[in-house]
Amino acid sequence: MRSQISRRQLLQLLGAGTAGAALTACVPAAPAAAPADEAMAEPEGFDWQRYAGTELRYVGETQPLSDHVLSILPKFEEMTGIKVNTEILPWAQMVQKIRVELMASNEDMDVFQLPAGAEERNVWFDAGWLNDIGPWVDDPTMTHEDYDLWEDMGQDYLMAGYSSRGSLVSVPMQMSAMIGYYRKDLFEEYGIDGPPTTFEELEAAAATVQEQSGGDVFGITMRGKPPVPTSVFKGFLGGMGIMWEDDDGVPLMDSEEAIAAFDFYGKLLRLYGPPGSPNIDHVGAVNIFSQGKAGMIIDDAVFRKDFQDPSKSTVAGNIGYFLMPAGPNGQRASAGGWSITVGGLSQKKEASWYLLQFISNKESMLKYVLDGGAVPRRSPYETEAYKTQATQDDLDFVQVLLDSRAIGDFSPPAPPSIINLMRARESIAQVIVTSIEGGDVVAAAQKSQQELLEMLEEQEE
Amino acid sequence: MNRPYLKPMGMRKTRRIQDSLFWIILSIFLVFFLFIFFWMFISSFKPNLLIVSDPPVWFFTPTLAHYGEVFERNPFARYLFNSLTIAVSSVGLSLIVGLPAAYSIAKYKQDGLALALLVVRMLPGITFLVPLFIVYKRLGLLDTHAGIVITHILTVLPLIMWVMIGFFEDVPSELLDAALIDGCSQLGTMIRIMIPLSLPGITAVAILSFISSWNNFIFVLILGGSKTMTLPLAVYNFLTYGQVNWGALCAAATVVTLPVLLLALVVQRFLAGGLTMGAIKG
Amino acid sequence: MQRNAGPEPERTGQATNSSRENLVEGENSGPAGREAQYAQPTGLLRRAFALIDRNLAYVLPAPAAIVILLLMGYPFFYTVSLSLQRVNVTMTRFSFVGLENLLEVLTADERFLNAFLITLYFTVASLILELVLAMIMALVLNRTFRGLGVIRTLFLLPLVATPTATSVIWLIMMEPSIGILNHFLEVAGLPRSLWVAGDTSVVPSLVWINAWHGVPFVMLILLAGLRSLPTEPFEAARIDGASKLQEFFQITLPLLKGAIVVAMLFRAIDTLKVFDAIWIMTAGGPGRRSETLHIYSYLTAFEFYDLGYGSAVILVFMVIILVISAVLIRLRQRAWL
Repeated sequence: MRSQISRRQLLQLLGAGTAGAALTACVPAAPAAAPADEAMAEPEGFDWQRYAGTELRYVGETQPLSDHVLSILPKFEEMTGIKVNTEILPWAQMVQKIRVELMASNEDMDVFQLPAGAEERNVWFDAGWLNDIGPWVDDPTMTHEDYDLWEDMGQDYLMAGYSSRGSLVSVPMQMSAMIGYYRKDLFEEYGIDGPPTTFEELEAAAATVQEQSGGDVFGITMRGKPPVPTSVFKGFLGGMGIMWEDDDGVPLMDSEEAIAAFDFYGKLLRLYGPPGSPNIDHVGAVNIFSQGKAGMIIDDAVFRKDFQDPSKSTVAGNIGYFLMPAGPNGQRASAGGWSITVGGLSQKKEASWYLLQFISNKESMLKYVLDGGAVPRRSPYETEAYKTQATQDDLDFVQVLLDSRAIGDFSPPAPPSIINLMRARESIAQVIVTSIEGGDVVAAAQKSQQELLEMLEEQEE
Repeated sequence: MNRPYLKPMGMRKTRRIQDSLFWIILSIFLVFFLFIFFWMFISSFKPNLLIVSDPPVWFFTPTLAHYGEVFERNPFARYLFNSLTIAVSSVGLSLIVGLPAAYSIAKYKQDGLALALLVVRMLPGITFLVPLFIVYKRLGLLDTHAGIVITHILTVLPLIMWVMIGFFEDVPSELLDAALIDGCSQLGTMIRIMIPLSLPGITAVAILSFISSWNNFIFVLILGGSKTMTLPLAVYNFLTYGQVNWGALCAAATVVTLPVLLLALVVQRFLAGGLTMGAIKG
Repeated sequence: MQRNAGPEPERTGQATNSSRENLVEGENSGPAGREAQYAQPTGLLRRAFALIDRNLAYVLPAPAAIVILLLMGYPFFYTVSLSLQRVNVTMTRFSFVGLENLLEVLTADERFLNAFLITLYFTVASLILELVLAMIMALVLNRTFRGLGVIRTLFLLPLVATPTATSVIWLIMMEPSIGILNHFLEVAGLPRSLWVAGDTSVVPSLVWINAWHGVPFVMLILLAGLRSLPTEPFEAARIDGASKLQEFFQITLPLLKGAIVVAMLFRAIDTLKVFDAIWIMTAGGPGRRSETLHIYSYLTAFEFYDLGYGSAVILVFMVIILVISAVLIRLRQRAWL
């Protein structure tokens, strides 16, 4: 049996203000139990050179996070004597490669980026493809004393790195959330009073942009192509006062609140969104907003860099950020971000943990932040280096992220009780498509609910 | 109206109508089939911002930045070397294995075998990758040139054989009989008579196979690795989460397409001429 | 083509030998027939050669068969065995369920039926469009003019270009609000289209992209066929005063039947299997309106981790490809006569 802390224990540990102290308090037992000669060879308990000569594989996605990893690898190799071979692939290809290799039980999957949103985390963990990283973090012979994960990262993000089985399976590398972006210039021109804070204001602003521009600029653009819209849709569910399921783990997709959320999401895109929204994913939506064709977009915070880059966006410099607006019954922001993990089948887990540790330590994360990334660790934002470099726009942006984090919902983009989240996600996204197209939302929602219940039933077997 | 002159004039007129009709149809086809390449080529010189703009921008200051990015981010020479090695060896080996088999099928009417071959081409590719990965892992073929070449053989072998069966069936039987009576062995007949006679067809099908091996990416992706990555990977480098780097993508696509296009241009006479005999028989 | 008119008996398989083959091989004695008469073994090497030569029917295709068996045998067996099992989503529990998966696919799976019909629609429409366009193109290019070589090579471009790149480029060109195709439609005074984002326009749009990719292949084979047509029937028709149209339908088309069938055979197989283009452009959407069998089987096995059921879908999918190909092969054999 795999040793793991229960979710409750974890919450207790993390919830306490002295989480770090509590954890370090219980670990000194480990080195004492280690063989004497090993303890003598490593008087300080931690040695970067311990796995010198090992060769590792890193598989990641073509995106800024990988650029960052590549930039710090030479230093890691020099410091540890571990050689790292990298394979950086576009998202779809990366997922395909990782999946095929894991399904084929390949032992060479050492360190890799977990798919965004990590909706497959549960499945992968149960299949033995991921590790429980927690014990390594707590072991001073395995982790450098400056690593300081529990306190610096914060409970919310560590939970996002945990599987729902209560084990830390990956280290969150990025602070992100679904946030709103709006066109400051257009809002001013059309006399809209600041960014929307409620669903009503959101709709009104979208309508105004659409009408005043004579249809040249769409009110809002968001994802519609299954399965991706559920990540954004989550915030709308939260505004209606519910999440994916009730306390007993029963899905709520045909509830009044869910139907109201489906209706509202679909209506926004049907009336004020670009045509063809059911086939628009984040790539399409980002493109439309970058081209100045939409007044607002609600999507991942990572796109800020692209929107503000004058070589990629016609609206750079004219963009403001807003927190996911409040609905009639609440306000939740869909939060999360990429994480990196060590493969559960890897034959070089310890060396792999060294690499992951190095990638995610304070120093590395500060460099990433200074290069324009946003990370869940708090320490980088408190450094002088950051404070002198940050512009007002940076600060505004980070503020929206921190606010999102405060009302953040880190659950997966589908009911967490369902192991097969990918299938659940696709099923729910079909209701969103129906709603955008103006079809029978109630019937579609009931069908999806039925499918979700069947999935639950199947996994009971 | 002078009757004797009517006919020649009418014919000239018909010819003119035919000629202009020919050019009109040709132009329509050129526009519909090649516009995307025009767009791709132009875009590879455009600043990113202008590529997906609406309305489209036709006049701009060209930039070579995208090409710079493509060459900078890819070990181009190595990818090119891998692509060429894999394509040339898989086509070469397929010919060595496939020609005798095609000859045999044509000669001994092994229709079942021909069908079995086609089945290989029918297999839905991606879904077979998990078991194939297991096999490769066990055989130590992962991330080796030999391993990738074998998978490419699987995809081009059926094409080579099916086209060549037609060619071999077309070689006049009298020639074979003559060779046999002269004391040539069956094998000798194949090597000395059949293959030279079908050389244009072999060239043509080799080109088609080369194209399909050149463009095949899925096997390299899953069964390959850092040592075997091929040129089409350069294209994939510019599709990222949420953003497509349009300029670099178009530049990369142009760079990857160009070698094959030049090759096709050189051998196109062979290509159209070469398929002639085989195609009729199929 | 010329042989079509010849006195050859029907070729249905190994049992029936044509007169030509009888002459070469001796009556029904198989491939080894006359070998002994001229092969005079004097040494070991020579004897070995003779042995090979005598069993040529087995020796020649053996390497190809071995390569294929080695590589595809295990994956095939793996898929078949998985299709008989129920595999839980974490792939930790396998239980044998016999034909249950297969039966469910065939009788109780609405989504499979939907995918089947869409695949059929997509394939048939693609093949018809490809044949018509390729035929027109081949007829147009079937003459000599300056620059023929260059134009013919340019028409090969859709076949040569990296499919992933072209799919992404088609997608942005077909973007409903900022795509260049809608811009052109507007300039021409036509209504905008949703292209791959529309519920009725998605399959036709994908058909066009697939045909665009496939036409050069078909055109090449048809062009080659046209180039080798005998001239006599056309001269006779001209003397009879047949119109160009009559000439095409009554002479050209029947004579080209063999080339048409083989081109369609390969395109049918490739079209049934199209994956990348659809996955990149619509991933089966909007809704499930472009979810073909290949997309569905991929989703089931890879995205939903339902390996047992996914394998069953793949098997049924393969059988469908096999049946369609077999029908076409049958047509090919008829075309010979």
